[in-house]
Amino acid sequence: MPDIFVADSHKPRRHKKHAYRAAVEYSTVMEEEKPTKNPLAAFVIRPRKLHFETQDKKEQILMLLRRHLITNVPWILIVLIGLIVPVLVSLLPFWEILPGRFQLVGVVVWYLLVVGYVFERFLTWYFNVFIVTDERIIDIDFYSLIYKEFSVAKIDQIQDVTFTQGGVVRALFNFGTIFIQTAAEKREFDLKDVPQPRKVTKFIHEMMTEEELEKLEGRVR
Amino acid sequence: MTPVEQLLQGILTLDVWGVVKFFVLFGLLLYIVFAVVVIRQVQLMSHSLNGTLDLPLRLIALIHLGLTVGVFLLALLVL
Repeated sequence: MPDIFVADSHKPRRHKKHAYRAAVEYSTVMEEEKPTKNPLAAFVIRPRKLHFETQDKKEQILMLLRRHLITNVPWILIVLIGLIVPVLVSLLPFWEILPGRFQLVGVVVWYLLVVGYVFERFLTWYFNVFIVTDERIIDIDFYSLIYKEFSVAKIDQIQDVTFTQGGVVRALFNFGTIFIQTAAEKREFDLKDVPQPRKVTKFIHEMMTEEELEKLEGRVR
Repeated sequence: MTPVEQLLQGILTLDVWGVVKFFVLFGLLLYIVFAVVVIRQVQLMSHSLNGTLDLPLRLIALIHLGLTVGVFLLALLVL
């Protein structure tokens, strides 16, 4: 007797529609940008060797932002002036009054202070970051030597994203300030002087759309 | 000699450079404390954001502390 119906022996496949999608599949920004390898970049895309505290095992950093490199110019100028201060001071008449040993120690102490200032400014720039993962946004701010603010909001808690880019320098070097309104405990995230604000805003919008689609289609990680 | 005269004589015979040395050494001691705090700060920051620059930054913080101690010793010996 011929079989009317033969059951498929293959294992049922997970429906593609309900699978978790990687960022490059739904984001044009992620599609355009290559992973960043430079550890000193201010606009970092999908860094491989970078982790933050409270990061889940499956959570992937998609974007990391620091202040634009050009925002470091004022303190670098201060340092350059600081480097020639001992030479200028040595030209002043009161310098001759100081004994030689005090002149030596004075110059050495001054350069030590300059080194400390450079290191402190670099640390502040390097570690004040804004991170976008595939699940949430994280703002890490260090205000003083040991005071830290760690703010988190889930992507589905983001309500509005806007950016401002005013002034010649900002237009020339393409950086600006992004404001993110959220329903999380921290109501507003201000990302000051971050590079490529239009692209960042677009990416966060893409993330928000994807998060809504995930909810509608019942997709989970 | 009256107390006022004694005070005046004391001021006149005061070792000014000795006082300056004391303040320089005291300032450098405070700076050593700052350098130690910086090492702790780098540790905390690296814990928050762990990247490829962690080791170099820790080394720089340690070198900074070493330099600070070195300058303190230099001031102690030279001044």
